Amino acid sequence: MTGKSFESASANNVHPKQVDPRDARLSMAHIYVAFIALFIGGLAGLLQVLVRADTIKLPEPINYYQVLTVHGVLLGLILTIFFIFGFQTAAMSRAVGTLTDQQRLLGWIGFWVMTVGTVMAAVMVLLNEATVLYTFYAPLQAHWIFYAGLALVVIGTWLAALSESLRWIQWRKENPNQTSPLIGFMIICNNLMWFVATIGVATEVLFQLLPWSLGIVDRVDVLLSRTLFWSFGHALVYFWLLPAYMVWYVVVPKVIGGKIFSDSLARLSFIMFVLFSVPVGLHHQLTEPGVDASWKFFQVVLTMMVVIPSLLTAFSLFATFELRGRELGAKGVFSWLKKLPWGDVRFFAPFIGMLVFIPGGAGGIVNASNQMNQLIHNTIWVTGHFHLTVATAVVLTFFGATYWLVPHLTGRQLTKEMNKLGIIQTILWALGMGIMSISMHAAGLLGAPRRSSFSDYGGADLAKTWLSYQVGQAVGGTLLFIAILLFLYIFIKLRWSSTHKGFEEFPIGTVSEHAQKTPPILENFKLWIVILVALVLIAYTYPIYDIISNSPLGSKGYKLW
Amino acid sequence: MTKKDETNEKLKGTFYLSMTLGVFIVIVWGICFGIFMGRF
Amino acid sequence: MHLHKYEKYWLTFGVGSLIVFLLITGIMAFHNGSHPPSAKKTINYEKVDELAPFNNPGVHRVSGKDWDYEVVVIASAFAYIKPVLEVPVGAKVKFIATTKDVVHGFEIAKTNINMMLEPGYVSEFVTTVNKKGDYLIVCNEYCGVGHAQMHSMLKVVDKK
Repeated sequence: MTGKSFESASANNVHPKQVDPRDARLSMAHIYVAFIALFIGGLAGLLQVLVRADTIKLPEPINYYQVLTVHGVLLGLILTIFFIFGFQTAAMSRAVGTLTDQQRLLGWIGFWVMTVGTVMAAVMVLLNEATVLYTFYAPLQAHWIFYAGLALVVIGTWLAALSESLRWIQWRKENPNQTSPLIGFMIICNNLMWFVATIGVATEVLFQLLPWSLGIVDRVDVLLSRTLFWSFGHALVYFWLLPAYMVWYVVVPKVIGGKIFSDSLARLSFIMFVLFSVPVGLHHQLTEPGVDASWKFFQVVLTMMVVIPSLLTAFSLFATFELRGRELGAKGVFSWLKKLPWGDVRFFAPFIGMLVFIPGGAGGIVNASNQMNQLIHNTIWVTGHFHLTVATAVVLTFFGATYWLVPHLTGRQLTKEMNKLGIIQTILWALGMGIMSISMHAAGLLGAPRRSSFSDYGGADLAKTWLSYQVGQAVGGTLLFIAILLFLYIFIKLRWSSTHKGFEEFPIGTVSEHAQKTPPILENFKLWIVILVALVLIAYTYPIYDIISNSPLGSKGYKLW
Repeated sequence: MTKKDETNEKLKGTFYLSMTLGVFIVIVWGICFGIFMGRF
Repeated sequence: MHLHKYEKYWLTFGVGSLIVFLLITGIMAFHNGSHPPSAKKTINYEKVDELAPFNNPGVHRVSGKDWDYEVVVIASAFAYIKPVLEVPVGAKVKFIATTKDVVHGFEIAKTNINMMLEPGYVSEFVTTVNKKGDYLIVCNEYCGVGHAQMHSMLKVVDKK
């Protein structure tokens, strides 16, 4: 199956392996917005680490938390969402087939709805009307236009996801009883999970925060709003991660000249992500009052389930690398590592991402370990944790993908020179993030809180011990900002330099001939949706009923910035 | 069966690397658990 | 679905470790009562100053309860009442805290006392303070422009 069916599926394309130029434009539109967000959000990050190391003071009237809101919203939401839909649209078009005009139109409407929403939210943040961070916890109350903007971003993502999904459904109708292309299947998984996850946050914004910020209702149920937010918030991190997994499973094997280790295991891990990413949000609320301790533990158990597909993934990826290395003649237990294409940034950047995901995952298991969460909850350890997972494992993989995707979509090539700069960029990123994240983990274990401007805490001795780590964060953060500038330089060169014209491959791997046939049950989404909905209902019905029936007087809005 | 043993042999490095990362996770968790138990 | 021999070993080890983590934390929680702070008491957050026990914040010795001391704390933007708390080493202490306005954190740095304070809810945590020292209390949830200035101190001192 696989290899041949991927290509025949896109037979109506200009070039059988080329994304249709009309789809490429849609994909690129997302990528432009993503990288504008990367630049501004990265600049905000640089300001934060410098302020917190007590090296600079922000000029009036800018405040630290406004800059932090810019950083979180632009990098956590806008960069990721736009890059992911840009990447997925291109991948769907490449592996499953060119979008129809209607599907593409839907994609464009989604793009513009998301963009308008982004601009609305951004304007309110810049006017200092929405310094509520990207988690926008009530009862801090932002301007209603901020919430409306975020609601539009979410609605836009639904349209974008629907556009991609319709293409896959069309393929299934045209190819009955066949296994769909792996990356198409993975995109469907990610979009399905995203759709279910965003129901919670959309409910929070539309039915709680918007009416409240508009003055239609006076008070808001704070705990309910937080619970709805976190029913989305953890699936959000898997929504960031799954496209990186798509690159690791499908693109990287092709780049190294190997095969996908197992189609069924890849699909199985994606199904597990779909099932266990949503009903686990309470592990972000472990230290909160008003939430039943037994239900917290129940969701902790489900959280550990979502580790299993990552265990499967680690083995599959190592296996792909080892089998390829041995094919190239490696003999010893580890000598195949030397055969990997270390000089190819399309491999190197995502590989460093995979490597960094290991300490990221280890820290994540600690965070989710029920009462052990008290050790690190809301300390800067958590910031260090997700800068390993999303800001390195995911983002470096996105950078690695950009290096071939952008030239592919714009009819150019990744030149040797740009490849070399990409390698340097990856090393800079890994180094900067290593220094910053290790400092954050260490300071967090010593109690340094996250999301805090510089403070000497009344001259407390303990706060003095945090300072050297804050300097470490500033050094790492500065390297990261330089790495962002280098990345944007490479991006601009790849996109606009006239000397790079040519054809760059969109690598899509094929499955190892030793792998077994994929069981059709894995593609039976009706079954998975039923199980997913059941799990969400089991994990959340009682806690939400409990919160509502126990709820105290709601909160009025505060603007304390 | 011989063919299967062969692929198993080919995945020895993969197995050791996976186990190394597993042991790493257990150690990190153990250290954090130790700190947690040492604090009030 | 076919799994390689080594992959089976690896999954057994990985899943086994997760089960061990869950067993340890689960037994601690359900058998030894070491749950994360999950009190379910509610309060009118606009009248905190008038309602017991918050009408009398500070450290109180209690008798006839499972703990020896109660430490009652009120958080509001951007301070804790009271700014200094003093308890004797070895005492079993119940920390009882709430907020008068937005969400705050109550983290006693380098201890396991770390809980969210949310308007309308009373947060509680019981522990034995078994090490002397000055422990910095910080707000670890963003609460507004003065968030990083919000702190107080727990002093664990010799028994009198």
